[in-house]
Amino acid sequence: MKKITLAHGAGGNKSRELIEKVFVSRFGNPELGKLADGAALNLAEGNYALSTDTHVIEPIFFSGGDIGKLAVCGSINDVVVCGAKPKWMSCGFVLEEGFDISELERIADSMAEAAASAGVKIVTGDTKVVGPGQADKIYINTTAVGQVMGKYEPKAPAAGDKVIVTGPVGQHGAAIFNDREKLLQNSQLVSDCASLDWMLGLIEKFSETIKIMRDPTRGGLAVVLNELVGGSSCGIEIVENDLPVTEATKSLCDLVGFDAFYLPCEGRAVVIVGSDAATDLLADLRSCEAGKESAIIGTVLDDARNRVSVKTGLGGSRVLTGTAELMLPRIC
Amino acid sequence: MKNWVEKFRDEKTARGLLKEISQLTPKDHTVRLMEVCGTHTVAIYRYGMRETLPANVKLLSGPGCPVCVTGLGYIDKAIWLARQDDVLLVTFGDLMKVPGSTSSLLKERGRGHPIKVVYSPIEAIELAKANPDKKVVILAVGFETTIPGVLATIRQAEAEGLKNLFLLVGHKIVPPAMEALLQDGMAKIDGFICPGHVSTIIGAKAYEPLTKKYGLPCVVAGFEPTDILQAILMLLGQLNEGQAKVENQYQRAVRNEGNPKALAMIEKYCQIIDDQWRGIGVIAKSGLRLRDDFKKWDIESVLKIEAEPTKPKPGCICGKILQGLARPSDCKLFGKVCTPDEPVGACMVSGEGSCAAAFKHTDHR
Repeated sequence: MKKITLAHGAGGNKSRELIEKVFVSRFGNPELGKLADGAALNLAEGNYALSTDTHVIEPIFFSGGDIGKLAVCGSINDVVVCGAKPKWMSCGFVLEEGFDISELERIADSMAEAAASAGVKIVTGDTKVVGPGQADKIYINTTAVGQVMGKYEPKAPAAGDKVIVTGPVGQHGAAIFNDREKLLQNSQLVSDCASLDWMLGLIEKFSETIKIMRDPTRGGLAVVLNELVGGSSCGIEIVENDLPVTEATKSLCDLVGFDAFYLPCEGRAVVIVGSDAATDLLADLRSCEAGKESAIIGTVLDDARNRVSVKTGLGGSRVLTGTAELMLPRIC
Repeated sequence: MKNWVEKFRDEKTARGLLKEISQLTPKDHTVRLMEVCGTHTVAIYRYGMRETLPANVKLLSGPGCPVCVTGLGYIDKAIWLARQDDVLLVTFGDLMKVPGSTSSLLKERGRGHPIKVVYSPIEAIELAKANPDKKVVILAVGFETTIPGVLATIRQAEAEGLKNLFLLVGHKIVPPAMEALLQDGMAKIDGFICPGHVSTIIGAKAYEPLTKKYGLPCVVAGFEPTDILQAILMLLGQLNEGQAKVENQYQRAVRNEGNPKALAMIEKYCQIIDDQWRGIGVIAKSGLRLRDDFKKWDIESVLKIEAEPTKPKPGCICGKILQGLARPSDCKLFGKVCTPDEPVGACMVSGEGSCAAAFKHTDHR
């Protein structure tokens, strides 16, 4: 089996061969094919969103995806929740010497597929190789650029606004943890890793009534909700019974003591929308296959202390903090 | 198919129980009930149960988080072990962040010392086989719930002829700690919600000496909201009738006599000692160490551990909190210098700790 060597990152013929065989052949488009130092983009007039993210994950192949799909969808989603349609992407690889080229090809395949299905072109890239132990197999940075749609601009949430989530939360965190710890065999834990480009039409349609959007990755819903109201005069009340969580995620949380509110998602958006438009937006989201489990999960309230609270099924309440949790399983 | 556990989270059932609890709650005085187990503490915060209960039912959190009560000296020994080149430490996850006198396992791992987090101690068998040049040391903390799994691991190691697997033993048992709180008398406890997981091993009957000696009702409870509410109702019922007996609300998991196989294994491998509980002090006959016949598995009989002298944390009132004498919000450090990101005391570390549960689920800003 062919392996990555330091020569693949040295910039000479070996580098060029790797880039052409593994990346250009898969990502193929005129801009990338030129193998120039950068890509010239033909931008129409308007506002653009630019977002970058570096992806490190263990294991690199997981239930529901791999680091390649994650890296492409991650930057696409960051641009989508800025209200923009992602069009171009760059990708930078840090590879550990000895990494299997066949695994890199698998990863490039899924990057190509994820980018193509979202209508995104990977137009420029970079490859570096480091010695054994200096990186863990593969790290991928992606940067995406997209044009902001309609009249969308983020607005401060106001009391009465509704909080919508576009599907069950915490699946990515639960699936990765289960894969990493090899805990449950034959579980239905699958990462929600997916592109949010299916939302673009609805973002355009509701561009004036959507207040703000985020994708709840690290720290999960709890951290993102806290960030959304931080610095405003508002808080959020979530109704726990309205939160979509799969049975598999719930079971893993029960088993190891996690809280689904804090588990990362990689294919969900949180949308705060004016109350008048909330039911229409929800209906439209649910009419899309990828958004059929969307739900209104809470309401924005006046609260100078910016609390994010959860009304529990028993009628009690608890607070969600903005503290991300290390995913360490409890003792018993 | 709906998760079968859901029926124990059923709101209608919970509301019915709350109504009955309200009917049985005395109007003229406060009833103080202690949930001994950290998993109960978390469930109580997680479901916002305190505020749904009548004002005259007060829930106190007890010393039942095994990570929280693990002595500072133990953590310092673990840190010393982590720094040895020929040692691979194996630990439960929530021990990673517990602050020792000057470091923590998480910090040591960050400095490049290998520490493996496992879900089950049996994983150490494969690690020992894969690392024949290392002493693989399981950080064996925990209560009766965890102890049999650790002992089964050394039994397996014995069967496979492994010579490089060891324990750093800090095992503790729960009933003596409950009795210590009563002897002290300061916490003014009217009844115990007894730990469900521990009781699967020791059985409901393990609390009979407590009910007889101290005239205090005990109810073994499960961990779902309706389990805990039903246990509270059963305790109130006993108090109203002037009774003090052991009742078992968690019959779907706990037998009166416990798990005889696990108990026999504990008896075979372990002897009882007086043990140090973090923040509380030494509690008589509350710890388990390996019997002399099994000392070869004890890392302390193989290596002389030269841990740094322990330095208790000034201002931390974890000890009082673990005994039900103070609430997390009574501590000056709580939420200010002591947070889950930068814990000072052990109660802030484990997800099962009272302070971590309070920090995570209540408004303290």
